[in-house]
Amino acid sequence: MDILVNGVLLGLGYCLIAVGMALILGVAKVFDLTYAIYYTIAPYSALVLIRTLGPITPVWLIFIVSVGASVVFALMTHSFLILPIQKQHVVVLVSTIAVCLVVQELLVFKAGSEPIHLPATLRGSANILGVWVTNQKLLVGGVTVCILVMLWVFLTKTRLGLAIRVTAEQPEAMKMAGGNTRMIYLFTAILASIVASIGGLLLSPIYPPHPYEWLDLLIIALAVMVLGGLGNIWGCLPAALILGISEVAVAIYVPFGGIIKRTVGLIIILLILVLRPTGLFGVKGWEEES
Amino acid sequence: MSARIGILQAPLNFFRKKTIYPIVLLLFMLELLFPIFISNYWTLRIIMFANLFVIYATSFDLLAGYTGLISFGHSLFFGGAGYLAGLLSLSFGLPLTVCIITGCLFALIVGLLLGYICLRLKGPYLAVVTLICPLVVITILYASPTILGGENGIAGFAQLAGGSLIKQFYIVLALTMVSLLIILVLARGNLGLILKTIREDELGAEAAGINTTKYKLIAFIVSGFFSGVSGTFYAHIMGSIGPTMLSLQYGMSPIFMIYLGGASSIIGPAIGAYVITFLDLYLLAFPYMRIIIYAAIIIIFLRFLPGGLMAVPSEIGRLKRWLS
Amino acid sequence: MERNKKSLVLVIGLSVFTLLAIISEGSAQPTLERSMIKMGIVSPLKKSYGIAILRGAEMATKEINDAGGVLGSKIQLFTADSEGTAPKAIEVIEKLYYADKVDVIVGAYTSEEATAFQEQSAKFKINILYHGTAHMLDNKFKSNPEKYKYSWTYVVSDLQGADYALSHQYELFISAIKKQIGLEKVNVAVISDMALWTEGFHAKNIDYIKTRPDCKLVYVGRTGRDAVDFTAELTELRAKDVQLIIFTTGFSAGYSFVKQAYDIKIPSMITGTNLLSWSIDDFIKAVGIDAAAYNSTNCFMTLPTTPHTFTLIERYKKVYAGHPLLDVGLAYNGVKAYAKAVETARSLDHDKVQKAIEKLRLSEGEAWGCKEFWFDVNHRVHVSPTNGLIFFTYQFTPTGGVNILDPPEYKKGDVLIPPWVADKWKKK
Repeated sequence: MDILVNGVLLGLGYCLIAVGMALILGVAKVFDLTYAIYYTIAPYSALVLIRTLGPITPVWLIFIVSVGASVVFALMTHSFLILPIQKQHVVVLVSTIAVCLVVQELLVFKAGSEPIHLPATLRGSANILGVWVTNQKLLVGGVTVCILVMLWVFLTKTRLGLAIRVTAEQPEAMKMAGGNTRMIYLFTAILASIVASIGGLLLSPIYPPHPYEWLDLLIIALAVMVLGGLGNIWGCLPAALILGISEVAVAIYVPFGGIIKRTVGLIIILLILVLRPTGLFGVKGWEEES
Repeated sequence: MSARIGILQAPLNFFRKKTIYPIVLLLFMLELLFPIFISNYWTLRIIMFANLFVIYATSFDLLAGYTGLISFGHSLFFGGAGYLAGLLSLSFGLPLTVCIITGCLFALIVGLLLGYICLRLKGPYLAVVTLICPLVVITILYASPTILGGENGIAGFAQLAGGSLIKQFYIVLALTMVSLLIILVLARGNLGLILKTIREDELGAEAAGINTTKYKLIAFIVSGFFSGVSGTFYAHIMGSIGPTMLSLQYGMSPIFMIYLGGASSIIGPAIGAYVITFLDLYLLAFPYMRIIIYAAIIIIFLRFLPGGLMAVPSEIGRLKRWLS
Repeated sequence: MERNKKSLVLVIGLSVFTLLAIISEGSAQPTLERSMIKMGIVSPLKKSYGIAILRGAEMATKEINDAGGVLGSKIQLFTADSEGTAPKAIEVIEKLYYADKVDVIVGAYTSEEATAFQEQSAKFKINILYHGTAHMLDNKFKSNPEKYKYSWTYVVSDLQGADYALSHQYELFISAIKKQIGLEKVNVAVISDMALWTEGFHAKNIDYIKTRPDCKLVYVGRTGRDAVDFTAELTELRAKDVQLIIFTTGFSAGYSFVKQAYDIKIPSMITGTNLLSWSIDDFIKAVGIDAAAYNSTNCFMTLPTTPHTFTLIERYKKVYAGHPLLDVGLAYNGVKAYAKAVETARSLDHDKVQKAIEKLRLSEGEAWGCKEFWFDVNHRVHVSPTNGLIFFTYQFTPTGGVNILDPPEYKKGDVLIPPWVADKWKKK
């Protein structure tokens, strides 16, 4: 029972991390590895804000500014770096890793390499089905579900959502119909960075952010996406839950589990890509690649 | 954008001629004299490490540049072979040559396995899988502190040539000469041609009767083997190694080297290896700026100069024509 | 008159000769081979403890240079970032040796680089004074004292720390739990991270608990050095009815563990050795005073132990903001020890200095944190209760203060057991 509750909550957190990247992957067809930076920038901006304005800054202001910082960064990266070379996959990979490294070093330079500590949005804990969990984790789970629901509503019920879906499946058709695919891609980037930065802010009290976390984040996001099917946003939820539950199970039952559990994600990526590259639920929009 | 050189096609016509071989030989003959003229041991040491990375980068070019299979985890061969050699030397006290040979054989076998796993993978898929392989090994290392040294690595195993810098320099120089020549011959010959064909159009190659599986595996094996060679010697010169040898740092460096120098040309990556090793030296004084500068260079090069340094003369020619 | 003139000439001649001799002695060549002593400082400069090492060295160097240097020669510092890894440490040490031609190297922090430091001292036959807690370094030294005679560790070993923790710290908590809660047997968990220096602690902790008849070892765990998620471990600890957790880790894992344990109100006391919490303000800020108050850590030499150390700390605070980390004092001692050895040896020759370091003693007015500083037969700094190196056991109070529990002469109050721990285990 502990495994289930903890695993589900962990999985929901992972889903929050992955869904943004899945969005970019599904729509713009790029592996935007700087996604991890969108996640990290938010808590660091919050830190700067708290330091300059003092501890009595209202939470909503911190949230808005930090998310804003992440959005600005995402827009700049996409317009100047990624979209011009959208078709050259490998170059995108190398360039985005390079950007991650640059930001990493800048963060180390300015804020030190130790993890930063931000006050939690919710303190205290609750007892769910006999298992003690922190309220922050429950908040994360709730927010993830809300975001998924909002995304679903947005993508299926609104005109803009329709435009995004069309661009994801048939970009050429979209262009011929007069749609501005570049705007669509940028808008997707904005969406993804909003999700990522919210995730970053909410998860920072649980997992203190540090400049090197981008690699771990990418591994988690990739594991979820690969398992759920690359580019398949809705596959993220079940995949993330599976990942979360198996990680917790490994941590408890396997010797040295606390250290090995990081490998679970890695092994999942390996096995799936080699044995069943389409993932559990099939890829969307990547047919020509696989 | 249509007239731009593809990032994987760099070589200048000049370097395509067979004159490249005597030039390479000449350069290394020159280096033979270095210890006589250069009394600063530190400079010699830098050149020695640059030579080692020449082996690493050029072997990587065979896989990434020629075959188009860009592996983000080549540190698996470099660090894995080095780690094994160091372990054998420290734990079992085996003689140096045995350790090095075992390390290289290990790299060869891993190359075969990895190649087999990655047969059907391309582009980003391949990148992701190769990226995480060395990370898995690092996690295993972390989890076994007593047997494999854990986070702290291992130290105190046998040093190459008993630690004498001059002897090490000559050994590495000879090694580099031999390896570079072998890789050049392979790349300029039929193998290179076939690999390039596979890179450009795999289906077409298959249709033309080329056994793409066999050649992709060969690329992995050869590339892995020579990377392992450079890794084992690196480990034995350092005398102490840690899991950092398998990390992303050593995985990204061959990528930086080939794109800086000019991918798919063997000579380009060799130049890239020298440039980056010397850049490292100057940047020791600026610990924070080092990675930022590398990353910035790579981003700029990929965006504006995809052919690397090798393409500079032709780009200048293009610029001249565009100006007039 | 002739005889008087001769005596006069003799006297004047002798006086002039003596005067000349005195003058030439005063303006003699510098006693040491060079007028600049080159010292390399190598540490993970991107981390707070690495910067602390640099500051300690800078402070000591400034004091020595302001006082005229070592026999007239000033110390010049060459700093390099080792990034805490062995390959980088080797690279920068070799650069310092070949390119900058340093006379000595001070620094190191992680066990990975400490092993490299020890090897390099043997390779180049140059004195290296470094921070190496792991007792494996002592084992290496004992295996070949002649080879490693140039290596010196100026920090206590993990085994020494563990011995102290066993006899003072854990004893205190076990008794407090038994007395205040009324238990006869205490369920204990031992968790350590995977660093080299915790190996000694981990093994000793396990043995100690196993041999105590009033304790039961119910859980043993290892975590990654940078682990942040302890949900699994905490769930198990709760399931196994653990009343005391002995948690040995450096770095941020300790912070996360304390925070998470507090968040889910785990009904256990937490004690152990958490390196980063030596910076008390940082710990409280990161973890929150509520969580900090119900956790205790053992610390080594953080609080001032000699009157002179107070002075040094004030001096540090004037130059650098904030309270000095432990590592400031360690590096300070390293530099001072080398300087004094060079002074005694009257030479920069590595072998002569090496012999001088063997016999070296720093007094209370020269060293940071102890009454007498010297190296034992294993080239490790000597630690004993009499030389003033005191280990403090303390707990935080809910108002942000520090409650010292041991040594008895500094004791302020009793062990504070959190209400949810007491409530859970108290027999009604």
